[in-house]
Amino acid sequence: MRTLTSKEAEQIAAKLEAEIKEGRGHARALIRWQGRIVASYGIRRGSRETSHDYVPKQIFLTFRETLDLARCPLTKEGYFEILRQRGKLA
Amino acid sequence: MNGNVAIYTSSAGSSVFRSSLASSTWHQVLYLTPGQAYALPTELFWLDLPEDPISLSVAVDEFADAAELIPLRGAIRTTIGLLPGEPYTLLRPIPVRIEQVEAGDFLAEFDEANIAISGETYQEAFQNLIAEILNAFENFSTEEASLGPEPTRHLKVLRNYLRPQR
Repeated sequence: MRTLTSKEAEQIAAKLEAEIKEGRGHARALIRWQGRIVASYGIRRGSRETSHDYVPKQIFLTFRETLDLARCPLTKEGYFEILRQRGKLA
Repeated sequence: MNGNVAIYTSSAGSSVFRSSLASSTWHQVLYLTPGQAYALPTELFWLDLPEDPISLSVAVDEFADAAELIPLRGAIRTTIGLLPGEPYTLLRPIPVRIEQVEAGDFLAEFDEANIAISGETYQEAFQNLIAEILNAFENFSTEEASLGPEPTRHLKVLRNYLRPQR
């Protein structure tokens, strides 16, 4: 089964220009829209690749949409449009 | 299973257990060893545990046999009942769900606040979730005026469970 990797979690954060805050044990990505934090998730960094399959629910996407966000088909603007449609921005 | 606290065979985890022994919130215990998880069929046990992790592991295994503990598989529900060394007061136990997704991949979740994280063992996922909850609480608290609708709701949920110590 396909899983989301830490690299993909980092790619999503970079694409959304998320702020990375270092915390206890791992980092957190804070996703902002018009200056407001609208979603966030933890990024685990370690020597062993670890699953980040918890990310989609935290950024209000399906697994498929999250993969698209990491791999490019889904743009930053497209992501926020999805959030707007799902009532996560207002 | 409600009102559980966890004990672990690692040195970090065993400190959680010892702390829990000193807590009045210790009612039911979930025993986790690498690759194994047990639920206690009764309400309260008291153990004299050795300090070193290897002896502790043996003691827990022997106790599991003696108490006829129930091996757990898949998802378990437990609570975070302690925050040792953290500058927060726990207002009530935080309900947690931990699921083994596959070998070496465990997902821990506090669903009400939409906070989740993974780990390579039950123990690591549990510990990572505690860290993630506290990180989220601090991130959201310091930027309360800049939160969107979901983080605002999640901060409200977290405040039902956590309060900074004065």
